[in-house]
Amino acid sequence: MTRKALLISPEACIGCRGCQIACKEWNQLPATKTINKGTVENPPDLNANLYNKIRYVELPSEANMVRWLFVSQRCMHCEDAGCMKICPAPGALYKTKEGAVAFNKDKCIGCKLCAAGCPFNVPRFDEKDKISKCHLCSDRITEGLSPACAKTCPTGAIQYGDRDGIISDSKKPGYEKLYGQADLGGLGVLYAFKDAPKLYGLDEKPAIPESIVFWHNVLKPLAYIGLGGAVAASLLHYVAFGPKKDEEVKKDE
Amino acid sequence: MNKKHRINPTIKLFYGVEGPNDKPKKGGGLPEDVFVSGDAKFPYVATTYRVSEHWQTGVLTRHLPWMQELMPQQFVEISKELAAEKGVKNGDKINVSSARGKVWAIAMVTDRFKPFKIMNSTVHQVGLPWCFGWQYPEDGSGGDSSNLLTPTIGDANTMIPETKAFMVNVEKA
Amino acid sequence: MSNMVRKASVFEILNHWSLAVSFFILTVSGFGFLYHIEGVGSIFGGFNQMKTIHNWAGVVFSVSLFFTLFSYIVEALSISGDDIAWIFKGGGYFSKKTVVPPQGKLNTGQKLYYLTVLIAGIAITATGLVIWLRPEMADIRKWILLSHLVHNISFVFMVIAIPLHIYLATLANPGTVRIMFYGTVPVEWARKRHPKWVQKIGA
Repeated sequence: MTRKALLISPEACIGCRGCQIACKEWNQLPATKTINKGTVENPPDLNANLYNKIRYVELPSEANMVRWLFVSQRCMHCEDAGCMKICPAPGALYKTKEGAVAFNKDKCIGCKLCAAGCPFNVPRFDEKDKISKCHLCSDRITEGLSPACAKTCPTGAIQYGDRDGIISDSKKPGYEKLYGQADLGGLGVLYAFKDAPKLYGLDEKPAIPESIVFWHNVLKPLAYIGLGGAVAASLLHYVAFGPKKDEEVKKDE
Repeated sequence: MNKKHRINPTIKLFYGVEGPNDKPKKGGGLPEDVFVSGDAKFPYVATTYRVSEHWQTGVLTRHLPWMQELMPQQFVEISKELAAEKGVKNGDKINVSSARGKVWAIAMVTDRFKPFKIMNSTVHQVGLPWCFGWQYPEDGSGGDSSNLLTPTIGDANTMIPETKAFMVNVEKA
Repeated sequence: MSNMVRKASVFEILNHWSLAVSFFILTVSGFGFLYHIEGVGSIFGGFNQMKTIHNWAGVVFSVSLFFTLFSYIVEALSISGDDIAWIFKGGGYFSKKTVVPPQGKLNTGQKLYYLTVLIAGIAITATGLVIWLRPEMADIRKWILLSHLVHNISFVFMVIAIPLHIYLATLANPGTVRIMFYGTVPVEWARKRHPKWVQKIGA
């Protein structure tokens, strides 16, 4: 199965937020009570019942020109996913054959470590502390359908397809900056940007926190080696020097 | 422009009064609707519009929690310049009033609205949607419709009610 | 028995058992989490339950660790020239001929071991609590990452120190493990291994 991906073009987005609602509809997520906080952006942040959110970025105007960018914020489906690396529960987070990072709430133990491991601050937790996030509509894409957000998008700002095809499609004039092609082993959600990613509210170089990499590569093996080493050293000592038998202990007199 | 004309002479006056001291006729509105256009009490130009999240006045869509989540409350977009003048911060509750009525709205201080320079004076414009109001949400947290502010006159060309340009005042609630 | 001397009180024995059992549970479940060992999860009745057990075993462990302070901390911190000499002689474990300097109630190795476990235990408890309870504070994500790292570093220290402790208390020094059951040791045994202590209590 080839790896699938989403291509998001903020410049093509009209901010209708159909994707936000289509996502809620497919995943059967209830609405939260919100208030207007002086922005169209609502709810204010991703939550357990909001897997995909349009972030509104109003850039300082120059000569009456207002640049208003609409950027979809959601799980990026990293190839090398920090959440999966740090997760202590097998099967709670898993990769589908399409490359989506999906979750299983029954296996999730609610430790919330994935939130610390995610370079994009995506995982949210429901009232039982179980992970909730975009899963690239893993139940739709296994059946050959496109994710609900891509299906509903009226302007093609969210496109779904084979990752390789999407990458070659995205190389259009004015859209030279493709975000997420190589970062974290290649993201499953790519962005076609006209400007620096920072302008759209994304890190230039997203990376898994160094402490997790260190832990994964050094500390994890060290725990086994340490335990094995201590046991082996004990046995070796027993064989080489033997026990300190009572009658052999010399008194310092 | 003829100085005698305080209003567009071709607009449709639904109640048929000619001057400010005429009594309004049955079924009509108040003369203030029209003749306070230049009143210093209402110095800002206002316009109304829809939001894509609600259909028309929102009486159908405001019952849908998903839509309500996206667009929960009446808001008014004002320029940064006017906000600074009025001491209004983004997200503050402010009152928008016209000769006809008054609604509260959440201030959305934005670069999308800019003051105009008209005949050497600065004219501020504000804008608010009319997708809120009557009945829902029942706790009244949604706010009222901006149609409470609009004058009862017809557009000169189409004769439909003039809801796109009228005079209001804005102050902190 | 007149030729016996009490080295550990009943409370100390029970407390040590509580430490040992909780540590065993924590380590086994910890390895289960670390390496996604499904079999370990099954023993605990699934990973969800294993998490709960791990957390509460941690509470038992830290409470027991706190009580050890009353038993050992004064002794562990009283360091003398004999201790340094003991270290240079490898505790007498690497030759049958070495004569080690006289030791108090705890020998140098035990003091070092206690301090290691105490520090690693405090670190692992504090960081475990941060991961478990996620206190409301700014930059919680960074604190969680730091806690996760320190939790695992402490764990490495623990899994090295504790097998050695078990070995030294059982196979390497016959007659020691009875303290864990009875709390008493023969005077003669004590006089050889902890002469300063025996002198002090005047047995």
